[in-house]
Amino acid sequence: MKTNWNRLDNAAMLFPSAKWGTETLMFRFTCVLHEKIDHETLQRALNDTIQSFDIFRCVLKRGLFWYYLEHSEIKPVVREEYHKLCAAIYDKRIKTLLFEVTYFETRINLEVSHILSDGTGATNFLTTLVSYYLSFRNGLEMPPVGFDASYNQMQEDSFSKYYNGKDKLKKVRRRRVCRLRGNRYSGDMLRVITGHLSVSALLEITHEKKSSLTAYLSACLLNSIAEDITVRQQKNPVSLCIPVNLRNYFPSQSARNFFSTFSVVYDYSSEPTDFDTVLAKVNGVFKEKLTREYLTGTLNSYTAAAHNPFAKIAPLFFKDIVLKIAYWRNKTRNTATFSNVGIIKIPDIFNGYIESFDVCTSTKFLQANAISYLDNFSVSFTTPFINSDIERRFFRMLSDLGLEITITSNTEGLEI
Amino acid sequence: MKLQNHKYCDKCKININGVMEYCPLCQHKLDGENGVRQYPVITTVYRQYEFYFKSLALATTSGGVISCAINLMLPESGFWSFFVLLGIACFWIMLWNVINRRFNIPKYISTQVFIISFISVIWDFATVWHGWSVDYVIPITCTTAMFALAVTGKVMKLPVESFISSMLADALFGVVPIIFYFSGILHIIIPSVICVSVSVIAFAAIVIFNGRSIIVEVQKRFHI
Repeated sequence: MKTNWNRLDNAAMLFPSAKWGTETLMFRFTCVLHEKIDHETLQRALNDTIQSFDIFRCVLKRGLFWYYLEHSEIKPVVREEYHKLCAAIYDKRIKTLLFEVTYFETRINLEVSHILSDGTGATNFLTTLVSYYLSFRNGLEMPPVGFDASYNQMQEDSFSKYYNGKDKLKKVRRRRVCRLRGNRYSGDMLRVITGHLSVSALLEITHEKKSSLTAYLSACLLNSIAEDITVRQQKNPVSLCIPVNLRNYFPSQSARNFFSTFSVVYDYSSEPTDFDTVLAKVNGVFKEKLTREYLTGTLNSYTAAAHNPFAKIAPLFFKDIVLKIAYWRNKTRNTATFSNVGIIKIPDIFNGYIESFDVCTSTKFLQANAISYLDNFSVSFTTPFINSDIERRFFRMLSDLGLEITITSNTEGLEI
Repeated sequence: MKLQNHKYCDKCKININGVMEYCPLCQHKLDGENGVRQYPVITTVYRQYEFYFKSLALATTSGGVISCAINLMLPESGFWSFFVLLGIACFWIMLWNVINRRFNIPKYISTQVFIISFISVIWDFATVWHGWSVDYVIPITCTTAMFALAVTGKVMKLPVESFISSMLADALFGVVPIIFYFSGILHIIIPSVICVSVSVIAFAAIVIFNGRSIIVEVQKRFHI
């Protein structure tokens, strides 16, 4: 049976309180086609897509103890891109849906609040939307959707499902880490720089080094950051936060949040700074942390806080303050974030119509997101800082390896 | 990946798509044909009416300061500037409530009842207790608010869930005058008795017709 309201999942509980400045907890998936987007067709496609994603039809409301999602009959409306990147589309006074579909020229944007879903849920939504759009536009037959999940499976809070109350991680006192500083764009603007390159060419290089793609690029990013920061900042280690999709380790069809994170910490003041050593260490950390045991530990540690009886009965205005502090304490333990969303799959008949997929997220520091589609690998850096030296070092590192890179950026639309 | 028209930064050895004049990575001037615009120009949203609010804030501040100054010059005229300050404070509380809840009329009405009741008691105290706040203001505001809520719900075709909690809060608050009645602080009892009766009837109506909605609403709002 469908209920008309839902608790937030365990990760999303933090998010409504955590919103601050450019960190709006929004993320954007885009799909670039070969031809201009047609407004009417996209609206039709959205109307059909929302039928299979009923859990996206809700608004955020405040209870006495927790926020919750209430089913809403508001109809999602397609608009031409009209606001800044990853702007907060929800306001506690106006009830709006927690996602939005916009378009610009040949690009379709899906902006989703992290309260609602994570990368996996959003990817499923976007690929379904694009499939509908292309089949309407080109008179193709709509193939059956690629995922199989009932309403209840999609709205399941998988954190609670796999929480066993034991097996928590041991508390480790972590050192202060280096934090990025600098002038920011005014008006809470985010800049995104997206680089497109060939998956096969990139894989050739990473395989030569016997490394996974994510680990290789993480090492590149670590070195780019280390080269950019001052010697005094280097006293503290550089820490890179890596989100992990828990669905790969715990079977789940949930369309809501189900991810965890781990950190790769590298101390440039005491360890060698050459790329191969950094890469070896990053690979070691990946091997150690990407195991079911470690991830069970993180899942239990994260979920335990929400199952604490004292935490449960604290009134929401109090929780708002505590959760905000907790979120930002945790956030500032990492210098930057690198998230590889993985491979986007869409029924074969549509491949000829699509140029690329991109993903980017809101952040207060620096966040890199990668996604691959066929032979197209895209990595986007979002940041509120005007300084683009980390991105320059990162992309030059790749172009020096002989990779052909094409970048796009929203700086052409930013008013500085 | 091959993209149509693009520029090339020979310092970064990178293709740049879009209409940028400078390389976004190294800010080096780019040559070559512009490609297709990739992002729209987004103007910063100008905050509507901000100027009026600032003017209003300055006007009320100056009003308060000037009346205090005149009062200090004429100490024999009594402490009347206190009332000016109280008036200004009430004005801003009311305005804040209107602005904050302008998208949720039922909630606005119910909070306005509390604010009006609170303010009237304070003014009654400040102007030597006559009891007009408990005799008239509180019961009459409560009763009118309940009718206002019912009418708003009908006219704006609001779903029951969206105003049931405001109605309930108002109905419960409307029973409070019974305390005034029995504690004997009332001089005029008719408005209070009407208010309590209307509240009880409203409460009964909600329970009889929407009992189920109340349970769901309570479950939602109080889940732990």
